[in-house]
Amino acid sequence: MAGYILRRLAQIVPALLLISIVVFALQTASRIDPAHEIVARQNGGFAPPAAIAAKRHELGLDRPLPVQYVRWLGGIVRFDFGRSYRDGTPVSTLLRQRLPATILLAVAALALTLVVSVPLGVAAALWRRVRLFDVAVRVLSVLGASIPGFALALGLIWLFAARLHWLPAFGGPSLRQLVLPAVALAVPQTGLLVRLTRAEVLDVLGSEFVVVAQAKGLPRRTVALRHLLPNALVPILTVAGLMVANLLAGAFIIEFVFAWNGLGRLAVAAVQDGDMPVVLAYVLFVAATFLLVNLVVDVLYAVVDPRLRVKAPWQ
Amino acid sequence: MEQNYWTKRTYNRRMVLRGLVAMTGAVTLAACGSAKKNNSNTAIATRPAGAATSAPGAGSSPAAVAPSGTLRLVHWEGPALVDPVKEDSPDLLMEYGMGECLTRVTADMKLAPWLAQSMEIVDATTTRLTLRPGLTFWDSSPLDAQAVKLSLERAWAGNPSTDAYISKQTQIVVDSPTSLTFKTPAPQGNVLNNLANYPFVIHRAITEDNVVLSGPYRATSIVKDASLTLEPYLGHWGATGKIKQIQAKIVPDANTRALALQSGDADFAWQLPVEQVDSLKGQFTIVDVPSVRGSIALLNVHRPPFDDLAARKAFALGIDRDALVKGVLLGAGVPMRGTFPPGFGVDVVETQTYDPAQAKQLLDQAGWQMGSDGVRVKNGNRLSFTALTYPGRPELKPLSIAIQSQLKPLGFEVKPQEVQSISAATKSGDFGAAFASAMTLPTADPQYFYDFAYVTNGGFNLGKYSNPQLDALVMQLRGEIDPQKRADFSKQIQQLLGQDVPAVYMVSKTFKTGYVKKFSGYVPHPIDEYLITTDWKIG
Repeated sequence: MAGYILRRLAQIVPALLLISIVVFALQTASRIDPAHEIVARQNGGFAPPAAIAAKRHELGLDRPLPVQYVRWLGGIVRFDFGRSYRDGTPVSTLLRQRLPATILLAVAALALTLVVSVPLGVAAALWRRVRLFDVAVRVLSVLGASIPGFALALGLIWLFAARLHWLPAFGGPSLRQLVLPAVALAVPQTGLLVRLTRAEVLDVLGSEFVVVAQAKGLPRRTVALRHLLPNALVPILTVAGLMVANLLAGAFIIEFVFAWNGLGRLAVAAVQDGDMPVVLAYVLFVAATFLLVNLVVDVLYAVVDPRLRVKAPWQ
Repeated sequence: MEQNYWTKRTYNRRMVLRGLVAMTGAVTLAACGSAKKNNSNTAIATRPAGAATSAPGAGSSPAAVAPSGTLRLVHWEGPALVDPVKEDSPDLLMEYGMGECLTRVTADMKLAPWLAQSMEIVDATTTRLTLRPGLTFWDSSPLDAQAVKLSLERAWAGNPSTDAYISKQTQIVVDSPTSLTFKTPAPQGNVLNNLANYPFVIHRAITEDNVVLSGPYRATSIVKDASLTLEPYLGHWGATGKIKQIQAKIVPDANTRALALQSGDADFAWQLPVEQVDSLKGQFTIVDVPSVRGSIALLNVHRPPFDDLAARKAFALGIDRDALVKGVLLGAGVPMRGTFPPGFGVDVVETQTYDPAQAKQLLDQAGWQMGSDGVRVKNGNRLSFTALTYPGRPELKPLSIAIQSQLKPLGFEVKPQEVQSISAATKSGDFGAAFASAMTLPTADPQYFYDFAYVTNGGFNLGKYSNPQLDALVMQLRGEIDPQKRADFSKQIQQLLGQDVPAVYMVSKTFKTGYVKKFSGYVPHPIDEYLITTDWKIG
């Protein structure tokens, strides 16, 4: 297992390199000129050509592209992501400042999603003959999965902050400030996961080994926890893993509405301003997150399903 | 068998209901963890701004009323640094009451001394200013003529655009600790106006990373894009700030700002969505803030259809500005029929009125024939253009859509397109009209906007309009110091713009600001930069 993990970790490096080249090329191909944007912002939209040229030189944007890329890559190897074009703040400082808020929100939303959706999905599958319950779960999960993020977020603020005065209108580090953004982020994920869990449990429910376990008179709890759930869990894990990566990559709509100072807002502002060092660092972070989460999910497969630990004869 | 197995006795509907109630209760309890409302903010001071030392002159200011109370303000943006040279949006330093210039524009759009006590235009190249006595920066160091000279030289060195406002070749002569003379290399009649522009906020760089300003409020903590805490600078030359602490929260979404006011999380909300204002009236004070900001469409005069004067004129004649104000701005604004919004102390020559019949006539005369699909054609070119808008000014997109329907009966085809960066999107010249929102009179002087948007190679001349006659007129305006003659030149320039139509003037938005009843002292100002003042009071 350790060798497998090391091999997978080693594969991440070339993948990140490739991604960095693609992103660098895309960002360069975009028509946004960072020098123009900065000068214009500093002067209320007024951007004299001489000032733009001076800024381009200052930022090193007048050098050939390969030189710019290699310089940037050289910095990355030394964990120096460069400085934001906007105000000269080191990008690593920006990421360090924003990451805790993003992780906090992602963890809270994920916890909420899992705590609600897995039991609800399992219950919906097991008691699908209880029509009212089954219909309610299905309708709510479709609603949850399809409601636009900004509408849900504003609706939650309107109800719980402006009308009921139970919770603050915008996000922050305290538990009370965390609730609404986390719920707004968790609701669509919950809707999806409830449906998936229900479908997976239903699928496993028809398996022969479950029928045999029931016929043997095993207690329902034992059948559910030892036979049903572990077998239904593999696809759920995959989706939950992707959710983690999505949540960490930045829920920028939720962050925007709740004024949550996370990576999503940072990235959107950076893209708008052509702040290339921040964009590149963010994309690398997102790519690394997806790759690492996939690795963790693969490892968890083996933990959840022992069959995956056994080598096939041809391996 | 499966149904009976999972649903028999212990798992009945009541149990399901009970379980759901328990789950909901748990979530609600978690949500309402603290019983009482906690309004205190957790200060995360990652970047202390300027020197943190208290001013020894505390209490010695003319208004020795002890500051009191805390104001929670929600704004859509905030500064990251207190350095006007390095800060991305240095206008915010003035907006938050931290930065001051030598001169300022008053709420009735008059130029007035600020850090300067008096000012005098000696001749077309010489301007003399006398500073107020006893000026200090936040670190209590003297803000004298030499400090002003160093500040301006640092602005010229660090922000090359400042050269376009006042030439960096300008000689600054320190006549005495409180007086200095500006000698510009060429005649320039608006030096005093341009000294009110935010890139010229007077500052002192103790080190490259530690800059102090002189305004009545100073930042004690800044978290980039998140929050800002301000406290009064007790050594300020004028009245000191009356509010003990201003906690600014950066809330980019306008709806959330309005809801924060309703929820009690904010005392002052800057720029509210018009559609939410009715629900706030009564409980809060809602103020209209007319603005010198104007929504205009800069036309690409180098490609069809707007390389044809008739098409440009027809566009200008074909839009019903009153309907745009009513329908798009929901009444919160005024129509713009001239280069500047009306009512801000500058003579506005109204050159663009609504006359669709004349627009049709012009197009017919110019040879634009109506096609079978309702779009006119001339020499194989359709009367069709891309209308670029950008998300930073949300009113532009609905304006472009409304104009699409207004121009359609005339035979225009308008294709609205939102882009991230208007400057980037227009760079290649592959567009018809760039819809933009521009500060037209940030220094109360019209020359700024002519230089900015209409002079050949102007920094915001997105349509690449060029007319040597206009350039010459602006040059004459630039060198003129007599106010009446300047006004005459300005009118001539506007008339010329009216003939050439390089831009279509649309509307000027009136912003809405709301605050709690216990807050007072807010004076609406047409220029955003003059937001927080020492008149602000809470409680």
